Amino acid sequence: MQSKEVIYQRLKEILVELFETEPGDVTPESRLYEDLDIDSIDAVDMLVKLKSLTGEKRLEPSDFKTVRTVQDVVDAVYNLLNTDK
Amino acid sequence: MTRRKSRLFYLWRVLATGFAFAMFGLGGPIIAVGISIFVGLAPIRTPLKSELSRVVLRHTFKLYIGLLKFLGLLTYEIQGLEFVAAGRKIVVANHPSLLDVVFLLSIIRGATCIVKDSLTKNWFTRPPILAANYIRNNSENLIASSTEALAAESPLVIFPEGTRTKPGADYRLQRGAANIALSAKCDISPVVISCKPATLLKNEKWYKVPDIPPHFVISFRPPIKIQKYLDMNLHQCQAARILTKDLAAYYEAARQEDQCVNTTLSPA
Repeated sequence: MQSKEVIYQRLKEILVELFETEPGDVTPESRLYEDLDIDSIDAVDMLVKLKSLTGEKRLEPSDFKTVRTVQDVVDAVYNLLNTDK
Repeated sequence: MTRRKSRLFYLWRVLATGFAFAMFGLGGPIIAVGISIFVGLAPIRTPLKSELSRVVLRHTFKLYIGLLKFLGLLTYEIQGLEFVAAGRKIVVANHPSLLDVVFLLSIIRGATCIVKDSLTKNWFTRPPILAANYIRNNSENLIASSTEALAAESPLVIFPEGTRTKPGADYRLQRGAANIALSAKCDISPVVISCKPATLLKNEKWYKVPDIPPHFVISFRPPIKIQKYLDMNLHQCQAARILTKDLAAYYEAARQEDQCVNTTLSPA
């Protein structure tokens, strides 16, 4: 089972690698669109990369409707991993 | 023009502007219903229907621009017509006025465009949008439907600013146009639109017409080749960032150039 901390670190790596986000800019409170300049198209790429964490279980774009901040993404991934579907 | 005469012309233009808006509001639904009945009921295949609808809309827009010119509400010139040829390309443009899309769709044959999703819920705008098969901007299928339209050889018109240009502010472009260009491996045909003096800005009352009728310049420019960006061998979201930055610089340069021409030509 992945802890929220592990998910957060992996997400941070993805943001830095894919979107050239400055590591220093990423905090749990950072808003994806306003602060980190990640749009809905980028979010799809981010979801694809997050598959390395979620494995068989897939995050659907619809799970992301309410996601605003980095912490929201971590929570969404964590909840996905901890619910039996 | 004498003061009195120019005052009269101003009043005339306020009235004519009101008339033009009314025409758009009333003419829109009439054409919408017309298209729905004629094209909707005609026993023809769907691609042909949208093609026909686009022809009807193009001529309607042309007529409308002609009417505005006739009423003395604007003057315009079109430059670079040799770059307008129909076919597979993404037409991007800056967005200084309400009429930009009307101008572009009146000039480019068979063009499709991306429309705000809310317009497909509006009773008046829905029928022509559906009939012409314009692309609805709900992010989930935006890139797929745009690529599809391009594959069908339709020029695709996009305003990457997403909303009307704020005069004086930096160009802040969304990356959708760049992402579509990279996904579809399609060149970009830039259009630079200028409208002087500025008119019909966001949050401006319709009757606040400028002191002189605005002059529009619709300038079609040589294509921006996409291959250079594909050759960078980057992840698409990174290439899209670079391309979008270059596009913003392109429009910034066009604006600077435009202002230079203005200061050298206009008397102090």
